[in-house]
Amino acid sequence: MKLYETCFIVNPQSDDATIERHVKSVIDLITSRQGKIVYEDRLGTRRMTYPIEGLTQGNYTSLIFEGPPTLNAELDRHYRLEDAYIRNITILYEGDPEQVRIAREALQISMDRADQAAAEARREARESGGGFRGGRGGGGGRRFDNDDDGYHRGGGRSRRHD
Amino acid sequence: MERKQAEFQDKKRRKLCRFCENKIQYLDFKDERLLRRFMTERGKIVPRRISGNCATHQRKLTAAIKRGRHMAILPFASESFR
Repeated sequence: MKLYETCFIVNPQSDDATIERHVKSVIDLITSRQGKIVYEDRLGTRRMTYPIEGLTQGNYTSLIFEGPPTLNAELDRHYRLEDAYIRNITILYEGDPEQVRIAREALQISMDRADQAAAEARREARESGGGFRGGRGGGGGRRFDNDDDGYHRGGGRSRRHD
Repeated sequence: MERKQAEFQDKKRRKLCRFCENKIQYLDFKDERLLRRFMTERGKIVPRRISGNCATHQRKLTAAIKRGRHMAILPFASESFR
C-alpha cells in the first residue's frame, strides 16, 4: 500500500473537545478502512495567510497514512459533509517521514550558513569601501570633469559647448 | 578575444541546486520557512535562473508552493501581501 498525506484545517472557534472529535473522526475513518497512521502532526492553531470563510486562523492537522487508493474519495466525502473542516488536501506522500525531517533540518542549516556568509561578504565589501558600483547596465552613472574648459570628459566623445 | 570569453565564463559561475547538494527528494508543502526563501515579497515563485534550482526540483518546489497556497500556509501573488 502507498503512503498518503492528508492535511486539514478545523474551525478554531469551536472548543478543544470538538476539534479533537473532528481529528479523531478522520483517524477512525482511516483505520476502519484498513489504513494505518504512520505519522501524526498536530500543528495547532495558526494564522492563515488569507481569510477563508471569514476566519483568519485555523487549526491545522496533518496525517501520514498507509491505505488503499479508495480511501482518498471517502476522506474527501467526509470533509465535505462536515462544515467544521474549512480546507483539506490529500496527496501521495513520496518519502519517508523521518528521512524527510532529517534532510529538511540539514538543508535549513546549510541555507542559514549560506545566508550568513553572503551577509558577511556584503558587509566586508561595504566596509572596504566602494567595491560595488552598480549592477549590470548601471555603470554608476555618468562621470563629468569639474573644470570650466567647456569640455565634458569621460562621457563618450568630448564636445565643446559654446 | 578568447581570453576575454574565458574570463567572462569564469565570472559567470554556474549556480548549484541547493536541493541536489543536500540530496533532498521530497519537499513538504507545510514547511513555510523553506518555501518562503523561494518566493518574492509579493508571493511570486522565484524563477530557477535566479534561484539556481535544477528543473526537477523547481517542478517539485512549484507543486509544494501551490499546495501551500491552497492550505493558506503561503500567500497567493498579490499586492496585499503582509
